[in-house]
Amino acid sequence: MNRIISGLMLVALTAAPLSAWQQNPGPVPRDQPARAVDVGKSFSESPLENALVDMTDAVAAGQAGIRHDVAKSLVEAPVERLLAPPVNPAVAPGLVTWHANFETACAASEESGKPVFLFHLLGNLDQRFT
Amino acid sequence: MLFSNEEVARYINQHFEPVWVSVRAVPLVTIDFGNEQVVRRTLHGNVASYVCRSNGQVTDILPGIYTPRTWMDEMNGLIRIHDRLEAACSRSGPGLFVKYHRNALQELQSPADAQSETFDAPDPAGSLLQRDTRINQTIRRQAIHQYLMEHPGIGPDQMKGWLYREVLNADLDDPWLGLGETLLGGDPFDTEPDRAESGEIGHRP
Repeated sequence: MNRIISGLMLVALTAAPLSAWQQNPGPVPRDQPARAVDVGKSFSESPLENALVDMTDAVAAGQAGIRHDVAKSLVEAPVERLLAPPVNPAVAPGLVTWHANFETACAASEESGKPVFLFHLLGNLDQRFT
Repeated sequence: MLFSNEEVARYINQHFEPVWVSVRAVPLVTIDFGNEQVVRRTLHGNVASYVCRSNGQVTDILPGIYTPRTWMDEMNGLIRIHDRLEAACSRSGPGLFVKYHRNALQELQSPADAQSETFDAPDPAGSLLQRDTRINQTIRRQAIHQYLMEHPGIGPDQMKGWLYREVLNADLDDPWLGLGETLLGGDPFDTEPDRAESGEIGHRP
C-alpha cells in the first residue's frame, strides 16, 4: 500500500514540472513556428508585468492616500491669499471730512449747531464696491 | 461718486457734521467668462441720507441715490427745516415735527404738486439716475414722511431695518437681502410644463 502511495506521489511531483515545461517549452529553435515563441515570451515576461502592475497600483494608492495636491494647496494657500488682489480694494471716501462715528458727529453738532448728515450704505465708503 | 464731487464735498463740509455708517456688507457678484476675463460688481446696493439733530433724532431722510443737483437742493431744504425744528422742538416738543411731515406727505399726495416737481434737465446718459431720483422724491419719501410722522423722535438705528426693508427693498435681516426668490427661485423654465399643457407652447404648425 505504501508503495502505491509513494508511487502516486512521485508521479504527481514529476507531472507538475512536466506540465509547466509543456506550457513553457523554453527557448525555441528558429525553425519552430512563431506561435510557440510568443507563448514563451508572455510566460517569461509575466512576472515582470505583474510586478509593474503591482507597483503602478501601489503608486496610485499611495497618491490617493498622501493626497499630494491637497497638501500642496494647503501649503500654498496663505501665500496665494497674500498675493491675490483684494476682492474689494480700498479707496478714498470722497473729499468730505467724515467723523469717525455717529456719536462723534452728534457731539460736534452740539458744538457747531450744524445738523448731522448721516450717510447709511451697504458696504464701506472707503472700499471700491459699495 | 457723489462725495468725490468738489462742489458737493465743500457744501457738506460747510453745512453739516458728516458721518458715514455701513449697515451691512455689500453683496458682490463675480462673473468668470472663462477666458481670464472676470467682471466683479455689486449685486445690490442702496443708500440713505439722514439729516439728524444733535441728540441723534432723525429730522428727515433722502432715500436712495439722487442726481447731485437735486440732492443738494433737497439737503438745502432740510437744513432750513432742521433749524426751524431745532428751535421749535426745544420749546414745544415734537408738535411742529409731526406737522412738518404731515404737510410734506399731503403735498406729495397731491397730483398737482407731484406734477410740478422739477428735476434736472433730461439727460439720456443719466436717465436711470433721474428715474431713481423721481421715485425717491415721490413714492419713497411719502413712506418716510408717513413713518416719521408716526414715530417722532426716532433714531437712525431704530428705523434703518424698516427703511431698508420697506422703502429700499433690501431686507437687512435676510441673509439673501430679499433677493433669494430672484436668485435661487429655481428653474427659469419651470413654467414651461404648464404652458405646454395649456397649448401655449409645444405645438408645431
